Amino acid sequence: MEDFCETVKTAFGESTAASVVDATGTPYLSVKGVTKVFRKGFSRLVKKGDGIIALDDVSLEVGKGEIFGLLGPNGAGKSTLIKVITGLVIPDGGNVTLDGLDFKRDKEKFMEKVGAQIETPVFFNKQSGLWNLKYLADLQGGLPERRIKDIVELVGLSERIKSRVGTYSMGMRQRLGIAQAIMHKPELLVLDEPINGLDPDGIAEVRELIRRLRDEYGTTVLFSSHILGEMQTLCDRVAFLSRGRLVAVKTKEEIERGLGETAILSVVCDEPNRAAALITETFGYRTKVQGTTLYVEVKGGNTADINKALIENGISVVSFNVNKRTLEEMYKELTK
Amino acid sequence: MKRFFTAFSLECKKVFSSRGFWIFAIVIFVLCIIITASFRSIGELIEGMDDSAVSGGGSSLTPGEAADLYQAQLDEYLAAVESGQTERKLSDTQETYLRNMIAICRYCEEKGIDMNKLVTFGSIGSLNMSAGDYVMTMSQVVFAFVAIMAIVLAAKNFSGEIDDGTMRMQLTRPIKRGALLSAKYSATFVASMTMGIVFTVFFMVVGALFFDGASYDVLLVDAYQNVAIINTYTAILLLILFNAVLVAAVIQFTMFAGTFVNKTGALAIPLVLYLFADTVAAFLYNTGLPFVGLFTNLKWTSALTPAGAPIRGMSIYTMMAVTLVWFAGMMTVNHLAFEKRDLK
Repeated sequence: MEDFCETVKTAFGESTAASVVDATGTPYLSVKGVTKVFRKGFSRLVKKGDGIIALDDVSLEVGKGEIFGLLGPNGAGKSTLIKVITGLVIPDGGNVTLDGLDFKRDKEKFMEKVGAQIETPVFFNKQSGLWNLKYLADLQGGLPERRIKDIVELVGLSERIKSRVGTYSMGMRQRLGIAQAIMHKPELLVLDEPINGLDPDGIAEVRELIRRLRDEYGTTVLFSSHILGEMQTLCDRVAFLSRGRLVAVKTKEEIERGLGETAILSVVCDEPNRAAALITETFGYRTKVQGTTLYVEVKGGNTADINKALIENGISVVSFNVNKRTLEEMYKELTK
Repeated sequence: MKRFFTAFSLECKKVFSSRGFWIFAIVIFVLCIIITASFRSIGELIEGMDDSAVSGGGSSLTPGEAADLYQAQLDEYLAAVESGQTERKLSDTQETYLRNMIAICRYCEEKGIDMNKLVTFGSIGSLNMSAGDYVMTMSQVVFAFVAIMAIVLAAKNFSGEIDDGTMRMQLTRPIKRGALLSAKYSATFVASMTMGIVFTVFFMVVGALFFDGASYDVLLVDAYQNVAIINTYTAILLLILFNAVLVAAVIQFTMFAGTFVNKTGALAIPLVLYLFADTVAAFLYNTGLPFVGLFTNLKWTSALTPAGAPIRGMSIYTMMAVTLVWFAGMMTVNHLAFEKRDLK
């Protein structure tokens, strides 16, 4: 990993304190009231008629230097939202601004600041990885050869960069996708499922890369993933999307607190029904009795107090287990 | 503008290095060699035969006498129709042909031109083929293939890239959709025209080396029976110019189709239209509609032949103007449609 950190430094230069911006700063990327309905045929042109609602009045703000995650089941609208931000999908309503630049008015200036990898990276398969990178770099306005070489080294593709992309594995395509997204040092990095197909080393490297780009170069990162653990460890904030709607935006602290807040307590005791009544009366928690086991949904309280109350009331406790809520449960709850 | 030129040069590199481009080049080259060889063998076969045999079946009539004959034919048909024999009414194409021939003969009579020394290009069967006739005939054949190549390249570089997702990658760069579309359009046009022009120059060299050096004058006639005689080189330039419009139109149409349908559709629709444009044009022409549809524009180079302009009541110049307006309109619609297109 130390070698990897060095490669990041070579590719991006020494970090500057000025480029590191507090994540709680003013909104850098702003999405306001974005709506998108996918229609077929003629109604696509007139934007009227029935269709599949992909985004329904979605608004969110991302601070400069923030790592922002998009979480949601398949078809929730994550990719569509990312495509709206990168201009690939034209929204029916709403607008997107980046650092004060409106996408509709200043597309070129807007996109100069953005590096994106959308879904499965697609390249010209008959050409080499290097050819593809140079082609995209030229379209970007040109990059020095040295820089492309450094980026290739950074993503670990030096050995195969001159081979045809058609011969690449899924993981190698992902690495090339990340290379093209970061090669021009974007201010906003948009990654759609960036760790799909990567091996554990690759996942760790991408995680480290995202963190370093943010911490040392002030890059704002917006990314979607199905891997919940990744979201929890990496993101400053996570937006939960469901059926095209933004259902919640939680900060890392809120998620941690939220996970800690609710716990399911399973108590095996001699008088479960009396214990249930006591807990409901004293603490107001929901309870359920199954045989000799009592289940209690604890919200934000101290489970030790419950144990103490049971013992004080003469109930013999055989076992006492606390099951904290997982992010998966939180995700299911928010997106159901 | 700078981004357009960058994208344009990248697209040019891509097109010129594509396998499809070189396969077309080789196929066209082989085909041309075969056709040229067959012309030469016909030429050798007729060498030494008497003059009347090699003069293209030349008529012994003077231009004035020929004009009178055509006029008499036309008058007879018109008189028959007037007297109620409607079944003898000539089709528009037949009537235009007679009127054109009358105009041509009168013109030759007035200017004292030998009608057997005129080129009506496109007629491959001509036996007394001059270098000029050879160049124009071959060039027309090549441009017919170049137009097909242009359709294939345009479908591959536009709708093909939308389908396979590489367009998505390009559009996440700081370039406007309109600029990228124009760059792809221009690069396909430049590549196609380069192929056509390089082959035309090649034919000029072959023509000068292996065919009769005499450059016959070329005759033009429009729908108003205006007749003009131009020299071979001007005719070659005009041929390239008119074919440039044809190539531009097919690329534009292919990209237009590609905005709405997938690659297969974007390839098939323009190809079918192009290959059957003549049939469609003839059908529309014969329906007697006052304005016979814009399909004809796809193959309006036939306006250069003595059969006259395919659009009734329009001179070549009016047609050129109509084509340009049509072209600009389609381009605008194409840009607007692509701007609104979602790239999933």
